[in-house]
Amino acid sequence: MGMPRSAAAAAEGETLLARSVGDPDAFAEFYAQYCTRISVYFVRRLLDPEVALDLTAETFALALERRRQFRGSTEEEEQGWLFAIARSLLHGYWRKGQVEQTAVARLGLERPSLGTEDIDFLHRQAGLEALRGRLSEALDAVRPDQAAAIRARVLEERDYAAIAAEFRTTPEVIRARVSRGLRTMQRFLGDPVPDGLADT
Amino acid sequence: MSADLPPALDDLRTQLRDAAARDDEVEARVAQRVRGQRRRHGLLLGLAALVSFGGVAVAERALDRRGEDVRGDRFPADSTAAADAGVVASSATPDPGGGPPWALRVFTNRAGLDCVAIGRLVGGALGRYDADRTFHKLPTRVPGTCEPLGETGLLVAVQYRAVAPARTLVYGLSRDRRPVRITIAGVTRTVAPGGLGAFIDVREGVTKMRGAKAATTVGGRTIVRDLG
Repeated sequence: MGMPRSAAAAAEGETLLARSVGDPDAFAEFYAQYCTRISVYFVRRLLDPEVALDLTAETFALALERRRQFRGSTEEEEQGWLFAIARSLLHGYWRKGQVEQTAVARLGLERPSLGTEDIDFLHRQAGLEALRGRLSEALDAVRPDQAAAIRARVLEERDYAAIAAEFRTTPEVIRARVSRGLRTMQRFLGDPVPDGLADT
Repeated sequence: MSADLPPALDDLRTQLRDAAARDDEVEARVAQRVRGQRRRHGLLLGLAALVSFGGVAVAERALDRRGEDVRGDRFPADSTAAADAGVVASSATPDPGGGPPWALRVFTNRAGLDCVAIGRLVGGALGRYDADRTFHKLPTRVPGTCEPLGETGLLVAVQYRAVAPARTLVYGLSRDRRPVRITIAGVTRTVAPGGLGAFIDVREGVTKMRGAKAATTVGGRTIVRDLG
């Protein structure tokens, strides 16, 4: 998965992230190297490509802002550093039910809209079809109000305002139910498709 | 377009590449400014040393001699100052990455203007960290940003720290000590001034200041300062 690592960076024994300071093309290469794994990491846990894309954008925006603080010298350290940012954002989403987008705003990034091609790509890479049976079991382990919110949001792809109107509550409450329910499902599923890094 | 990525992820790649280029440009400008300030500071110190050496020599001959500094009396701990003279301990603001807080020294310069200087507060002393994370206490006569606060009502200064972890610091004085709203890159924070109206906003990274503003109420009027 991902592009082959830059031969130049590997030959120089330098990580792409370290090389990206002063070299914007190296940062684009760093992104291309990891963006599929990071977005799949979010899709498998949140089952929502829209939220996954927002969190992917924030992960790389934070990585860009903090790249001068990276002190590692190996590809493994580089991956660990990036996934630590992703994990922190995922836990923040589970806790608050909202996607943190402050670094994206600071950098002036515009959220690209997801098309069919993008959604198909993310579903395929995340192997969601293979997970369908287990997802259904996991949904049974979730509180009924949270499961109903997840079905409406993730399976029926309805927006939060419409779901909130149906349940006679606010979109914030629905967001919280969805995010907490997904967290419970994740605990039930464990790590269905290994990312190569444990989600601690 | 990258052959491996679908349109949305590829679009994000292009935007991040451009953002990295902008970030590098800001970093280079900040580094250049810091180098320029150090050079100017060095020249000023040299000039000041030449002038004061001659002046002090004449004064010592014509007037009094300088003896030892007066020794401090012993007082109970709670009756001594929380920080060095001029350092406003109540302006202490935590850094997002932890460690000693940021604080301001507030003073009046020889022209009668109100001035502020910023640093990290360690043991009541204001100082800065170098690249090796060693704390250096700043001299008492550290240069600051000055304004006639009585007339302007709001003094705002911006500084960058390029040495990791990078920071953008917005700080100053609010004459009426009313909350100050600081907006940078669309993110607004409201800071409550401490003693003497001293306030500090610490943000991670070196942030673009285009469109940035600081606003407060002075004498019942809203005052807005452009920081960009």
